[in-house]
Amino acid sequence: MRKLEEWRRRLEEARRIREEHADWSFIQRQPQPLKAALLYYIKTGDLYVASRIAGLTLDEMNKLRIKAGIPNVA
Amino acid sequence: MSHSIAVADTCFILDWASFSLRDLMRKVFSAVFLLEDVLAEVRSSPAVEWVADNLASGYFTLFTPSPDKRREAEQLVELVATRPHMRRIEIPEALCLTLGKQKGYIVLTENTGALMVADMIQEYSAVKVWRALELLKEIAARKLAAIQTRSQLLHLFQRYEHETKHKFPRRDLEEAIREVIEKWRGS
Repeated sequence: MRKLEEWRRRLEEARRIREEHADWSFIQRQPQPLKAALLYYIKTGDLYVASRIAGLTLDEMNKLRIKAGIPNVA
Repeated sequence: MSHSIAVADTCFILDWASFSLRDLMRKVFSAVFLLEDVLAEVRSSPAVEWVADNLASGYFTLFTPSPDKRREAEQLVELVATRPHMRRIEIPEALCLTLGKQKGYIVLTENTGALMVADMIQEYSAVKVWRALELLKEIAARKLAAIQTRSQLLHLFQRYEHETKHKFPRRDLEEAIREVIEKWRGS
């Protein structure tokens, strides 16, 4: 259980850091499905699934998250 | 020269390729396997050039999973999906983890789900899963870069963060710095 609590804390901290650094104005201006993909990435940090939502390659999705100011927290 | 072998997923390669000291990886691993999807997913400079150069030199090798390996990876994805507290993984990370388990390769990934698998699933507890943080830590601990002081060490991590738009969790970073300094003292 302690391990699980520690993971919950880490995941929450990572999400908070992504949220704090994100350029929300940039994200709000994105068309769908890019906006949905960026919001998913902020929540989970999972670039692979975010790229599938966006219909982009991982490379393109990585560039998009950088443009949106979202750090890769790991 | 190291004889360790790694298997890297695309997310790791994308960030590491943007790092100006990326070739220090060669001092840690004697060879790196990449999943074949790297070629479909990495399209732009400098990542694609770096990947192509390393494939040409034979340092990187493309790994095409057999149907058996793919089945095992699918089983791992399913296992993780049945555990509500675990972060989901997808086939690419699962393939890296199964290879790590079978061959003893170090798994290079930034995927939190992959880290959780090694931490929470007994069958995979022997698999070494490294993020960029652990690779940088190894580089620093073995003095493979010109780093001799705490501030130079911190600068190495910060340089990676800046160049790849990455953020290391503060506690992990502090722990990594402490471990490297302890190793320096012990050597």
